[in-house]
Parts: sequence; C-alpha cells; structure tokens
Amino acid sequence: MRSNFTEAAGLEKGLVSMEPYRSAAYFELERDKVFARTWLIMGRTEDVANVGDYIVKEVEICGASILITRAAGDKIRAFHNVCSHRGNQVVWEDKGSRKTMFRCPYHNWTYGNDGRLLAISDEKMFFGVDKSKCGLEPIQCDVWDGWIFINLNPDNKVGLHDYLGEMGVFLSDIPYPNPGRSIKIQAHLKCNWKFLIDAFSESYHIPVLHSKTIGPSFSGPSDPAGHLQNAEFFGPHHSISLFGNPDYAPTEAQLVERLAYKGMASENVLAANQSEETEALRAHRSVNPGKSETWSMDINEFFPNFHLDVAGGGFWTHEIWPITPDYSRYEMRFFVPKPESVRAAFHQEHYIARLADVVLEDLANVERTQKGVASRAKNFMILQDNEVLIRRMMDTLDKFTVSDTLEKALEECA
Amino acid sequence: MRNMATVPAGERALPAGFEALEEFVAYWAVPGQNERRYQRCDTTMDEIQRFYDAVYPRADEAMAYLDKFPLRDMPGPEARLMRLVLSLAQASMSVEIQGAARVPNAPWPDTVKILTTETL
Repeated sequence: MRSNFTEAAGLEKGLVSMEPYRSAAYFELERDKVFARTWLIMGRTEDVANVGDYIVKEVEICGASILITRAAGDKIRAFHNVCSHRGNQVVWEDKGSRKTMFRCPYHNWTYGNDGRLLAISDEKMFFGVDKSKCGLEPIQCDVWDGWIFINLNPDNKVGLHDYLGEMGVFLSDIPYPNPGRSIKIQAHLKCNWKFLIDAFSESYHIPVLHSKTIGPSFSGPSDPAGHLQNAEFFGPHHSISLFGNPDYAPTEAQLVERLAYKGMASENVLAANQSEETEALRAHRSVNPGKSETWSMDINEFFPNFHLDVAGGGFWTHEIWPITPDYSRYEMRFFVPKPESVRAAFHQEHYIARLADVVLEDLANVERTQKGVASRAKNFMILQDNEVLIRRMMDTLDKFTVSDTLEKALEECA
Repeated sequence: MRNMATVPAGERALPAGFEALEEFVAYWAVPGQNERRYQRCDTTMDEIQRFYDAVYPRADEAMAYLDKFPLRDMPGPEARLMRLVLSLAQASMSVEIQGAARVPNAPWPDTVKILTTETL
C-alpha cells in the first residue's frame, strides 16, 4: 500500500490555480486540445447489442452529434449525424433498433447503417451527384473491453489501445456483472465541467457532505476521514481506492433499509448485486488493487471525462460533458440486474433512490463551488494528499493544453 | 406535470385486505422510479411520514402476497400495491436518512432525472 500519493504521482504540493475553472480562453483550449483530439467514451457494446441497433450521443463542446451503429458483419461504427444534403441531423431519436437504413426526415435522403448514401429522393432534379462520395462522415471508433470510444480528430494517429496505455492493460478483462442493463441518473448543472470531475474524484468530502447518506459506510471509527487506500497513475489516467467501513450496518430505526437488504448477502451499502454475483469481479487483480482489508470501491478515471467505478457490489460510470464554460451535462449509469421479483425491484428502488440523493448532494454542491470560484474572491485551491486526483487532473490538462499534438501530450504525461 | 395513479371504474384500488392503504394510491402508486422520486420530493415531510407509517408495517406482507403474480404483468390492484411498496423505498430516504423531505440545501425542482429501460 502506498502513502503520500501526491509525491508518488510526481506532483508539486503547492497551491493550484482556480483560473482554468472560470476562464473562457481555457475552455477553448480544452475543446481544441482535449475533447477534439482525445478518445471519448460513447457507451457499452451492449448498448448496440444487435445488428440494426443504434445510439446517438452528443459532444456539445465540439458541437457534434454522433451516430453509433452496429451494421452487418457486427462492426460497430461511428458517424457524424449530419446529412450530406444540407446538414440536418439524419437521426432524431437517441436510440433505436432493427434499423439498417436511416432516412433523413428533412428530404428523405437514405443512408445504410454502414454510412453509405443509398438513395436521394427526386434524384433526377440534382446535377450529377456522385452518391459514393456522399455517405455519412465516418468518425474513428474503437472498442476496449466492451467500452466504445470515438476520436473526433480525422487525422488522429494514436489508436485507442495506445491512448489508454497501461490503464487499459491494468483494467482489462474485468468481468462486469449486468453490463447490458443500466439505470441512468442525468442532470444539467450550472458549473464548469471540472467541478463535476472533482466532485467524484476524492473521498475527503464523503464523511462531511454525505454525512447521512453514505458517510457512515465510507468512513468509520478506524478511519474517520475515510483515507485513500491506494492510488495508481497511468499517463493521463489514474485509479484510486476508497476506504469502506467494515462495521457499517443500518441502525435499528432504518426499518425500510433493513427490509430492502433482507435476504441479500451483499458486500456493502452500495450493492446492486448479491455477493455471489460479484465474486469474479472482486477477484480481479485490479479491483481493490492494493488488496486493502478496508476497501469500498475504486475510482478509475479515464482522461478526460469518464469514470469507471468498481465496488464489491457492482459497477457504475460517470460521464461529464462540458457544454459552455459554466454549464455541463452529467450522466451516471448504474449497471443493475433485471429484477425478477417484487423484493428485487424494491431493493433496486432503494439502491437507486439513495444514489439519487447522494448525487444530488454533490450536484447542489458543484453549483455553489462554481459561484464561489467565479466571484474571484479566491484565486487558488489548497489541496491535500487525498485530493491527489484533482491536482493531477489539473496538471494533465495543463500539459494537454500546451501540447501541439496528442502524441506530445501523452509523452508529457508519461 | 403532476402524475397521479387512476383506478379504472369497477376495479378495486388495491387487493382485498389492503383497503386501509387506499387513500395513498392516487399520489404514491404511480408507475416509474423517476415519477415516484418526484412525488417524494414534491410533498411535505408530514405527508411522507404519514405514508411511511401506514405502509411500512404492511410492506413485508404485501411483497409476500405479490410474489404470486408475474412482476411485469400484474393485475391493476396488485400493480398499484407494488407501486405503493416501491414508493416506500423513496419515502424512506426522507424518514430514515435525510430527516427532511428532500436533500437539504439542494434546489427543488432540480434537473435530476432517473432514466430506466423499463417502467415498473
């Protein structure tokens, strides 16, 4: 087990500027040097499980609407969701299935789910259009361990696996329980996207901000501050492990919580599954990598905006999408089993209800932080060792925003 | 917009034996996790406590009774009883965890949405 994570990460221990959180100029650099050229999460392969399935995702900071399809031959592809005719979006819903063709609802231009332009309505009135050159604009798309990523830079030369580097190796082959079924909590927040990244990157706040909801399970008499159990650093990506209170149990008065967890042998209060269903997950070499006896969960942060969190009871993800310098979209996906009884549905309702409250505690908080930082009353953050990911994220962003290419940025972070 | 559960004419609101909970059906027996969360957040602590105090003592019995029916194809009265029980999980956040109807110091209404692939 490591201690002094900030030193282990090779970081200075001084003050960290708040300017990137409130600077429109920095936001433009983040768009051009980060989001427009790094690999971005789009979802799970199970989101497009069958040929003919598709999803549409927005990357607001780049003004992009992305269509992800699974076409014949089982290949997952990504395209700009933009019609070659006059630029409207071809697909207007956010997901669907059993569709091998997309007809633009504006003038009926028709595309295959492999991107080819198949038909132009009233074609004879055009002036010799070469349909073979007018398909949907493809986007680089690749899959790592069941996770779909895209890269919006058409000239990108760094493959997904090289981009993920040692982080991809570290986390490969995790046996995810229920990867095909998730419940999403979505919110739009009046804050810079990095406040959301930070909110889910440290444990220092948990016993305080979440004192009632999850404080009692993420801190305890043996560790009242809930210190980090481990940290691993991989290029721009990183992974931390949080403390879990081994003695947590609902109080006598928590009647409904006890009823919800009755008959359930689960790992902790954030369990979506029975223990036996997560045995293989917990046995993975990089789940609780420090093999701490007092472990609750790992936060695996993929630069720039994807968290893949693994706990004894299951896994979930955070996606954080910048829209403007002070407005962001937040999405958390909990991967949960399909309930087959009222008791299982009741447990799941309780599980998600608590998480919605936890998330709301964080979300209300990021808007307050935005207000404070935007007021310019303070110019620097004072960070402690358990906040190492915040310091490291800022250091990584600084490296990316001054690097001419993705290759150079990755070298700087090596 | 406010969601309310409706009982078709000629149908019981709840299965026989659970009549005492009928007054809670219209407000709390709504389909959907997001809708049930909304109901919990959009009422007072007194109302939540009253609902909790009435439904908790019957919840275990209700779930045992409902086990005889298919989860995704319940008759109307059973489906409404199931939703009352599911709402109890929402109400318990206020009663057992927050000690307040909603997360203190958070805005209401908020932009939080729970998006599910199926609606129970």
